[in-house]
Amino acid sequence: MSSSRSSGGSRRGKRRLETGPEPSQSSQQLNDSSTQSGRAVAARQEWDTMDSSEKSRKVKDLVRYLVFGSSQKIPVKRDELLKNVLDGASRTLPSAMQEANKILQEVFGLQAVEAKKGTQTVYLLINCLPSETKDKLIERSNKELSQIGLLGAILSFLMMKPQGTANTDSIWSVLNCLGLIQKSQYPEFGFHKDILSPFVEQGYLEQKKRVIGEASVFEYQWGPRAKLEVDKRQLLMTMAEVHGDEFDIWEKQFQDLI
Amino acid sequence: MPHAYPRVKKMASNSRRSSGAGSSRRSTNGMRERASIQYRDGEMTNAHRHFLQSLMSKRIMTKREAKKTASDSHRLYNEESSGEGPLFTEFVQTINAKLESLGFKIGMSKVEHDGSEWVGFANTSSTGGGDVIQKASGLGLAELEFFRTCLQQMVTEENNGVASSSALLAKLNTLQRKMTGKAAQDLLVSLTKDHWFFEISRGHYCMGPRCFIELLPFLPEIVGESIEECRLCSNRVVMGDRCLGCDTKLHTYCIVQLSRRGQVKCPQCHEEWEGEIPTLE
Repeated sequence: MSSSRSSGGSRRGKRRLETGPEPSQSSQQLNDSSTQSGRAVAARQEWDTMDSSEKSRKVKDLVRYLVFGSSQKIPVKRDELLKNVLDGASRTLPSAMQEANKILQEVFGLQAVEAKKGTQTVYLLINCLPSETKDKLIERSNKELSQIGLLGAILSFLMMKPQGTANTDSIWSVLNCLGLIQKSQYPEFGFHKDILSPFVEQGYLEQKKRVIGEASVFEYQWGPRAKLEVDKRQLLMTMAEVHGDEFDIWEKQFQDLI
Repeated sequence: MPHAYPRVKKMASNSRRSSGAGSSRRSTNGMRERASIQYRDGEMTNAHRHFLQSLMSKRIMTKREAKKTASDSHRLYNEESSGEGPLFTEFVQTINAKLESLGFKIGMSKVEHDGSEWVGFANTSSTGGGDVIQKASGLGLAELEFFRTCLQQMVTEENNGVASSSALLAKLNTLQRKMTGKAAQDLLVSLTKDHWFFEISRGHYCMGPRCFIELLPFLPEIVGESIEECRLCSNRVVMGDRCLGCDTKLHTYCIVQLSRRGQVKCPQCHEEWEGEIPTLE
């Protein structure tokens, strides 16, 4: 494909693919994948034909946006990136993100990873320095340390639950054992009305509302950031250590990990 | 057998001596030289990235802390070299060369009230819309308004960089977004804890290291008036001393530095500095 073809042309191309005939199940599938690749090609082309100074500006803005977002540890919403950085041109996002990731890796040792938060697509910045060194030297505030401890307890609890899910009450039954009381505010965890809410916000926990008859309960499981950042194996080993057990007593959980 | 223990001990003390600081000046310098050759081409390495991440996580460090973190980061990825690693300024320059086009930098600045040096991660560009303080602090709108009001109070001529909490709280009823006195007081405490402000004496606040590193270039914009530049270091000066002859304002720490080199003369009117020569602990 020549790079001189306009983006308008590629848009037409996409529409043609989308409205193609759909006779049978198998060719439907075939059609789907060709639509996908057709879209990808069109998107790539839309990006390729963009002015190079415009491209580099957008990539830099994307990097800036992700770095600002991650400094508060809040996942950046895809919709927000599209609106504020790419002027709504959603098809250019994959290419722009690829370029932004090169910079993030080279300069910061970070990587933007796409994840689902509820129904929303979000991006998290994940540390991609070698795992044996990445946590060393990074000093954390007391508040952060308390939060890490609390988070560790919650994540290990969830890891031991069937399907890795627990509702608010059962999480609080564990937190009560740690001397924490629901609906109290703790300065060491940052004065939140619900001490779980920052973890949900940061993507460590995923919160789902489940309606049972009249009542509704919240269920929690590992969120996208926890899945990407927390090493289950290490957590399990720490737990075994805390309990003073041999590692193999957790054999079942260990098998599940592999 | 009885000899084994002392011999081991002797070896241990030998090796400690040879790797200890100052044992051989030449070898330390040699390693330093080698390390800087390793970094000379301005390439980012994992050591640079690690240092940058540490700084971004902590947001602000004293220069001494930053130097230590940089040399620790260097050692983490260069096990074989036990030297001091590259020179700190070179190390930071390599990172800043990459950060510049992204509108970030590792900033170094002195803090006005005591002249101490700090290092932090700063945004240098206000493009892309949005509020610089908001981006840096993640504060909500009401908190931001109070933050800005505090800065406006600090930079006034009569306050010379310092505002009392009672004067700051008195401004609460002028804010568009309402905030209780208790909330404002808590905010002052947390801003001080995060190194945005510094409590110079009980209940009196001045700008802290993060203001100087992250906000100083934008300060006129933030407070809505121009800020003078110190004639000695050409950085903006909020807290300082004025020449009794020509009214030129200089940083207290700049005057102190000048006084160490002899008689202090005003750089503007060249008259002898008539004010008191301050001393800093």
